[in-house]
Order: sequence, then structure tokens, then C-alpha cells
Amino acid sequence: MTNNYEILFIVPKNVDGTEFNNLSDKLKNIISDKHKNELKKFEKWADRKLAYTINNHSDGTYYIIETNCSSECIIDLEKILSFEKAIILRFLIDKK
Amino acid sequence: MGYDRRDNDKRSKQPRKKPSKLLEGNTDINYKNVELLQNFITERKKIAPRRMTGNTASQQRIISREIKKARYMALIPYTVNHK
Repeated sequence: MTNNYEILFIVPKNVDGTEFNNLSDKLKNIISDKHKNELKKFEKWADRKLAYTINNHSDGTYYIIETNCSSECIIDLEKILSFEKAIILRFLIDKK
Repeated sequence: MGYDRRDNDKRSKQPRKKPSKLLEGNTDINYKNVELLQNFITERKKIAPRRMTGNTASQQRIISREIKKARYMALIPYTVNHK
């Protein structure tokens, strides 16, 4: 049983490209290789100044992921998103 | 049965219902659509009441939920005096 999920997360400015690429590859592998689910969108949503400082970060890049995947895949994604130092805030909702 | 002037005065004091900004065909009510949500918060960054926005009850419920999501994701501030 798969649902449409949308994940928005913020990466601070001081995270360099290589670190972020490892992270994005890890996320993509989980969605498409491990669970064989559909990854609709994984792109940068915006470069914005945060409305309030989070862990002394006042700027960040917003990335958005849109997938059609199962709940087990979401559990795996949550593990990575929650423990990853390069992500200061994340938001996961199911899109009806 | 004299004509009761008091009723007429009471009705004229009721503020005319302002049309809501949602009626301008903007159906994309989404926490990411920050420009639309800015219309529904006051200068103090609080959620504007219905009498100011002119929303219907269901519109106001949807708008306030999306504003709270946008606040969580640091797109809209909670208060005016954030560090």
C-alpha cells in the first residue's frame, strides 16, 4: 500500500556540496533501490533566510522530496533524516 | 405597530463583510505559498481573525492550519521579536 508523501527539509549554508551529495544519494537509494518505490521529485525548493534562527543558523536551503512510497520506506527515510547532522529541520506530510 | 427605528440602527452598525482574498481564484492554499499566507497575518505576525480577513469558517480553518505549518518550517515567524 503506497501513499503520496512530501518531505521538506532545510540544509544550512555551511554544509559543503560533497557532504550533501552523499546524503542525497543515500536518500535516493533508499527510495528507488532498496524499496523499489517511485521518486517523483528531489530538488532544491528555495534559498531563504529563516524566519527565526535555528541552532544559530539564520540561512538555509530548502529541499523538497515527493515520492509515492510505502510506510516501511518512510520509516527508513525518517531514521536518516532525524539523525543527519546536515539537516536542521524537516517536515513530512502525506499529500491526498 | 409603529416602525421600530432601533432595529434599523443596529443593522447599519454591522461592518460590511469584506470579500476574502481567497476569492481571487487562488486555490493553491499551501504552506509553501507564503505570499498568499502573508495576507492573513497581522503586523504582529499573528493570525488575523475572520472579521479582518472576511473568510468563511472553513477557509479560516484551512488557512490557520497552513500558517502553523509554515511557522514550523521557519517560513513565517511566530512573533515579531525573534532573534
